[in-house]
Amino acid sequence: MQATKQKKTAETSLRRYCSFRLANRLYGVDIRDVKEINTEINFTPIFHATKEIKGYINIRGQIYLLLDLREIFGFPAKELDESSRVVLFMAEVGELCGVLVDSIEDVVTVDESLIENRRQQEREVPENIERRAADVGVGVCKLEKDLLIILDARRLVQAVSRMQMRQKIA
Amino acid sequence: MADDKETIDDILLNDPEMVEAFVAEAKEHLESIEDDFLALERQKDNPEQALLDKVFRAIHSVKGAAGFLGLSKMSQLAHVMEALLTKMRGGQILPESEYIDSLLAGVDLLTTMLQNIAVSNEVDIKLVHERLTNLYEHGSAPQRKAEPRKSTTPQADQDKKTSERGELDIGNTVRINVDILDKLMVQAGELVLIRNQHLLTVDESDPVSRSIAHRLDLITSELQETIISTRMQPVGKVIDKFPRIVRDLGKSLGKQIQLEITGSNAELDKTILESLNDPLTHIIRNSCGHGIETPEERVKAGKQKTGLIRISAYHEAGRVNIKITDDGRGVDAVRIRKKILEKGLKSEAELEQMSHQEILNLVFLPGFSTMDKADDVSGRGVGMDVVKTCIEKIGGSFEFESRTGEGTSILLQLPLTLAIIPSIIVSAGGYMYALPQVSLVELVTLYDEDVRTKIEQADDQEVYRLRGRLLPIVRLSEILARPKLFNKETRTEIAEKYYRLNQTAKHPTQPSVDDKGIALEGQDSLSFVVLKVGNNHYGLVVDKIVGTEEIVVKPLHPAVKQLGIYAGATIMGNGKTALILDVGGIARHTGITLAERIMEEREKEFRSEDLQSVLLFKSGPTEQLALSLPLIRRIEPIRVKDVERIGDKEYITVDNVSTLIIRLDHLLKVSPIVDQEKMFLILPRHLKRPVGILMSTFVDVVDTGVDLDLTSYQADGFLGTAIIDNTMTLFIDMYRLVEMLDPELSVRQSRYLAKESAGRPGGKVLLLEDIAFFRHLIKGYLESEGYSVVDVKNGQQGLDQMEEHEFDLIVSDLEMPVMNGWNFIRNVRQAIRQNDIPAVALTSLDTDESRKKSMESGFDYYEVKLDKEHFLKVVAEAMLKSKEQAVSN
Repeated sequence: MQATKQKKTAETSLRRYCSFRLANRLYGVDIRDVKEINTEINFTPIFHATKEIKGYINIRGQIYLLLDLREIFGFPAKELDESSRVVLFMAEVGELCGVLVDSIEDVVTVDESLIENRRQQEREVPENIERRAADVGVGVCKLEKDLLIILDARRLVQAVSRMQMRQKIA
Repeated sequence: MADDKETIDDILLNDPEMVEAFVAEAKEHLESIEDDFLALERQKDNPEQALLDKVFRAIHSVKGAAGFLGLSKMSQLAHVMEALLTKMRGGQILPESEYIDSLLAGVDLLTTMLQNIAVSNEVDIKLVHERLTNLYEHGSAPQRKAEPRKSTTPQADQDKKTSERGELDIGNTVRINVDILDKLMVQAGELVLIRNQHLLTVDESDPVSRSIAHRLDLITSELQETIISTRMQPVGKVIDKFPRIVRDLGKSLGKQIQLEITGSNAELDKTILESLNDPLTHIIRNSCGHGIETPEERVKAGKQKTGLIRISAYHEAGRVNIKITDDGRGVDAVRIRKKILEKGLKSEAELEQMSHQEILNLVFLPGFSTMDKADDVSGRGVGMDVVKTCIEKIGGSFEFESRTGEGTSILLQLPLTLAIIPSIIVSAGGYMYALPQVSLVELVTLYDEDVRTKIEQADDQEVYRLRGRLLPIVRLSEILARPKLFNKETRTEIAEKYYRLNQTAKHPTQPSVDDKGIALEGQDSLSFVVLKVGNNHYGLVVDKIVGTEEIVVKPLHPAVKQLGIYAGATIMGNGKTALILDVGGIARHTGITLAERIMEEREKEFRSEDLQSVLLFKSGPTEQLALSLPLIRRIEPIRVKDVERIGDKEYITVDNVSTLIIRLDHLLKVSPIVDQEKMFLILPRHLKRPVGILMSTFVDVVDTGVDLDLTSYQADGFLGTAIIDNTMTLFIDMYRLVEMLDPELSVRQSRYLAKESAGRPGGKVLLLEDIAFFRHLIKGYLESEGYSVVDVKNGQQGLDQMEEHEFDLIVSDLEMPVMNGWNFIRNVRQAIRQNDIPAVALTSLDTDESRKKSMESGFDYYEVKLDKEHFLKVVAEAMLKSKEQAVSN
């Protein structure tokens, strides 16, 4: 009885993240926000939209809005290749949308207590990138070899909507 | 109170389904009750017992169920209403306005409580309850002699309608949650997409796979239609509440207003219907408040004391039209002008160039509508831009017409459903875009030299001269490349860019390359789609017109919703995502919405009176032949190997119809046609039997001021000759051709006509037609039947003729310069009082609208250009009538 209880507490403090690479950095979003990973990267651009919006993709008859994470973080653009993937989010994250990533990595399980507040860490990232990414990042976590930057998918979608709004007003 | 609350919560908790059922049922009861009360009020002295029973039953069942569920306030209110109705049923009181007023107030309150059932017991019903109780106990207060309400004509219809609805067979209906229907709709949409994709991959050579594909295609379409039909609801759901609104408004404004509703059973998709509610209410309120005058004003203006508002809904060309007309004071253009100037929205010079309609459309300027509401500019305009936006948002269009002192008419054209729409697919920059066919007027493609010369510049705007009208032209690729709203500089920049390109392309000594490095020299065609926004048209240049497709509309992601130039997204048959363009949004983005009317005015200077479009082509190698474009339905490319021979005749299947091929050299004196692998078939309009004229070479379509030479080449089957582009061109008489093809038909026809006109001298016809070609053609037809014809070019000349001569019959075109056909016939009927002479409108306009307008103006017959056989039959019939009248006079 005692043992089960302990195990339970341990479980709730564990978080699982879907991780992916972008400009050689490792990022992760909460696995519960992710619907699927897809290789479909043929998108239709939406002219007039802000550059953070890549376009629309067709996933089995559903149309997803594809966000460009490189653009959001200010990384230089990169050609699509065979390792490019899209991470599609659950509908409650922000209707039908997803992000384009350089490549997909494993699902990482980390203990919540090991996640540190991003703002206090991460000094090596240039300031402008820091400022933009701060909108969507919720923390960082040291893994064995890498540093995992944890993103909030919901804030990601909201941030892009805000950018779009700003562009429209300007 | 606390107890009541508890009961409701209890029930909501324990049996939410029961409460839900109660709410749905009560709403249904109350929905129709309003009409019934109003009907009773009209029948005042002699109320129909069945109707009284019906409203009584409705209130009674609401009371019963509410009591059972512990909804005490609702039950109390319904109880006193029921009591009053019992008296009415027993004949102790009559349904006078005062009773009906309070009963309606009760219905309103009940409806409000139903909206939020959980707090219904906290609603304050005291006022209404007291009023009803008072009436019940003391009867209607001092029997003031209410002005007798005019009994209205639609009353009978309406009463009938309500009773029909009352008898709806409950046993055959099932209540379904809308969410399920929505889901079904989405799934059917998916299925349509899969079907479209599947059809692209079908192996046509395999009969089994072909037949499966065919069945899938059929079933999918049927399923889709059925599901769409589940979402269809009668327009009446929205417009049937207007009698109440009009009645209440009329009372409070001291006006007498009669409302006529027709076609409330026309069906629309639920979503569209719901979003119609606000704009329609706004329009009706406007009509009552500002359109219709007070009885005194009306009498002074020589009108009936009672104002009339008419709402009619009807199907037309796959759409539902809702038309709202009133006979009020209309919009005062002079005052609009004044206001616009005051607000500095337009300059005097700009206004100078605008037509009446154009000025009226200014009320849609957003800046205009925010004006001081107290002043109101003769009432209309406030919020009209909102109404327009609402209608456009659901894919509808909005037209607006008004005459000062005569009234206002508003026409809403709505798609039947939003989810699946027929559309035209275009491409630009390698991507596909869809345009709803509702907005499509026509497709135009320019070839060769025309690409560089036919798009002209008017100030900062590119324009194309389309059949005598200047059409503003915008280019999709330029629009997509510029996210910022266009201003004068943007438009100038674009206009100059293409002007420069075309100039250099015309003199190809220097290679011309535009700033993106694309050479324009090689471009040998230019396509644009003519689109309409309300009363305005514009042309959208695209890289390519791909085809038509039924598309499933998916809403835009919220993040990109505000972009303005898109209406949605869709998935094409090839699996690619495509954006649906917003026709109104593009007009707004490029700032051309209001430009066209001005253009039209300016265009009058350009307009050549006799301009008409003709198709130039070759049959045999030698002669150039011509046919008037309005006589041609379309041109179909064919392959000689598909031609089937039956006896000495040749047939080919076009649109699943076996079509007889006419070789001109078999009938006319022209050089024999040389067969090529690919040829074209000209399919004529207005012919009952399917025939096509074989053509070997397409030469051109030109707008030309034809002056037919009727003498130099007189041969059977030709109208005459003309010189076009320095080439002698033979004009073919299409109808004679068909007669020659089928001698029996022509014999029959002439016999028929001979019989008709036996014993009578032909008669004298006044022919009004501005286009020389048609003038000659129609005159020829009439003369060959033995009538004598005087022909003139417009309404004014027609009136002059009528003053000098007597005629037995008028045949008139509608669209003419100086004075059009409608004004002409109005003058004939009213100013010079020639009511006996029959008049035939002969026009290429084939709309119900125009037909109606023509009949109202005073025409007796309406003929579409040009079915010779039918036209002559009508003329003979009209002539006969004319003679009879002459005899009886």
